[in-house]
Amino acid sequence: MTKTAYNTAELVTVMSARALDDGKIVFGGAGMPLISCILAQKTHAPGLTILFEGGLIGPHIEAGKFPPSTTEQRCARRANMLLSITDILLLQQRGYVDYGFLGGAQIDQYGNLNSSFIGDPDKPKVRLPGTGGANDIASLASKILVAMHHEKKRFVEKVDFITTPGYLQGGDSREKAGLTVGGVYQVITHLGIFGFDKETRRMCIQALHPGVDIEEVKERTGFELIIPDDLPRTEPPSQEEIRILRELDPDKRYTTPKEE
Amino acid sequence: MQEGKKANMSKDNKLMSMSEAIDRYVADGDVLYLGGFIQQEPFAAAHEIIRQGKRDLTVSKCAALILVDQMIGAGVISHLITTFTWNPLPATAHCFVRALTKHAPRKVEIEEYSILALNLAYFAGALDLPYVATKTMLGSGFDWEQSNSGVKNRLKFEESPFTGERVCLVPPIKHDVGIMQVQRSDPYGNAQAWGMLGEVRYGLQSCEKLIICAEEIVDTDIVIRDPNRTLVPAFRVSAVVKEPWGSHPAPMAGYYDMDWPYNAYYEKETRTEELFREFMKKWVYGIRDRKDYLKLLGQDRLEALRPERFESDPVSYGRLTTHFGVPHA
Repeated sequence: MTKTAYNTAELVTVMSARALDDGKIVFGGAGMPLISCILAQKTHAPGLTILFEGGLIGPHIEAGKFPPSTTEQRCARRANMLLSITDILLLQQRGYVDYGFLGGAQIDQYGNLNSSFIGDPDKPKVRLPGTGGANDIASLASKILVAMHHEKKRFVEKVDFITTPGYLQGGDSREKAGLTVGGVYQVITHLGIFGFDKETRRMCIQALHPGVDIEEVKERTGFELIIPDDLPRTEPPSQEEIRILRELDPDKRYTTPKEE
Repeated sequence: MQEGKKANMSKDNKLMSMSEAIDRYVADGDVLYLGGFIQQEPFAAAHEIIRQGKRDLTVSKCAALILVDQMIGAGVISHLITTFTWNPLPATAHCFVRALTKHAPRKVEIEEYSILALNLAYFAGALDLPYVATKTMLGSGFDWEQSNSGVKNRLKFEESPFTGERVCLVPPIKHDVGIMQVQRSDPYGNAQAWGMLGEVRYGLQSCEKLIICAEEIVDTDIVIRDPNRTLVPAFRVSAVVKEPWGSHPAPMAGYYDMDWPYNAYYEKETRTEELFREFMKKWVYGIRDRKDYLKLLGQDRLEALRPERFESDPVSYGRLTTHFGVPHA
């Protein structure tokens, strides 16, 4: 078999697509999450239904014309249904959404994400955009997928503010707060795939991507990861996956690795 | 001026200029709802509010993009109710960040909700309910009963009297005035809109007074042939303003695309307070109205934003040929 060349953003996109099962319903965000969803539809999951925060069900998106935002008119031109935002988010509250797909500026060992601020809320040191629908998605979808570039400053022991709830303070704190469903299912980075320990709810590594050394993962993580003795490796992206991906995003607008 | 829940006349011609509408219906200290979820944003109205120097406004907007950023930079907002604030590129909304991190040009109190929580607050406001219960926002930094995060909002967290489960109680948010840019309206305010309407249905219903800005003013006959598309009825509307391109640089489905290069230009030209002042001098303070603004943009630029027509198949509401079983004469 010939080896397929791919960059780290393409790797994360392919691994994210593989996490989405056929016949399920996914809440996709603009950029990489959306491309993963379409890639999944074009490979193993033709029956995947995509929802967007703006109120949209079943967008028909053309290769090479990916919308810069999932809440703009390019998405609404051809779609199965347009709902109000209240209605689409309430579909989640009623349990119809299998996967929520999020990115984040900062994640901690319990899978909590921060996209609000760092420092004092009255006069923060750093001010980020805020939650949007991320808090709703992470509170209400059955399985949360988080896709991020793996950097030490993004993988912190404790986030300054929990914009988006993962397992909160670990253990059963998520359930105790009233969040009886969901939780972070997988964190997918350019180094590997991560999950959470069933008891402590601390982040553990589930699989390493091809060619990645566990030492690099440790170096780039700002807290202690649970590492099992027997650590599997993911299958590298196939030629077919990379071919479809490049057809979808020919200018690599959404599949160019972020600079560090 | 309208008072309380008094309905407006369905048959009053409410057409007026933007400056008259803002002067008559927006007062200092008002709680303002600005409609449009990323598209159909009332930019022309916001610019007129800034030009008229309105003060101490509470602005509530589900998606606060550069329109809100400009109002913050111009110092007209004292309290912001929102779910997120950025330049849709995406990039930083610089005035928003300066106001929060440096209190420049003034301090802005921020009241933040998730999109579902804010939509339910509009819903509660529209239905005049004391609160709505939901299962979002629990446990996070917004759940101040759990987190001591110091974040201020008006949410409460209680056990359900029915099931005992912990729920988030969302208060009603009501507004003095709502402003929305739509595709078309008749002169009375029967306003029609389509595309991604986001939070606007309940947002508009939670307002006492409404200013409708429209790309086109049409005969009532156009409206009544397609009543499913009507967003608000005339009796809820105080003013109707004909304002083509009134949402630029935000998009209007079927009329114009988002002006992405303008968003990038805005990001660059507002990185400092001084740059922002220059930007506003050019695009807001130094001009009289939207006509001047469109001249600044230039016809070529506008034409480039215009989409090709992409029509849905017409639907038929049916013209019945009998009445109580008796054929029409």
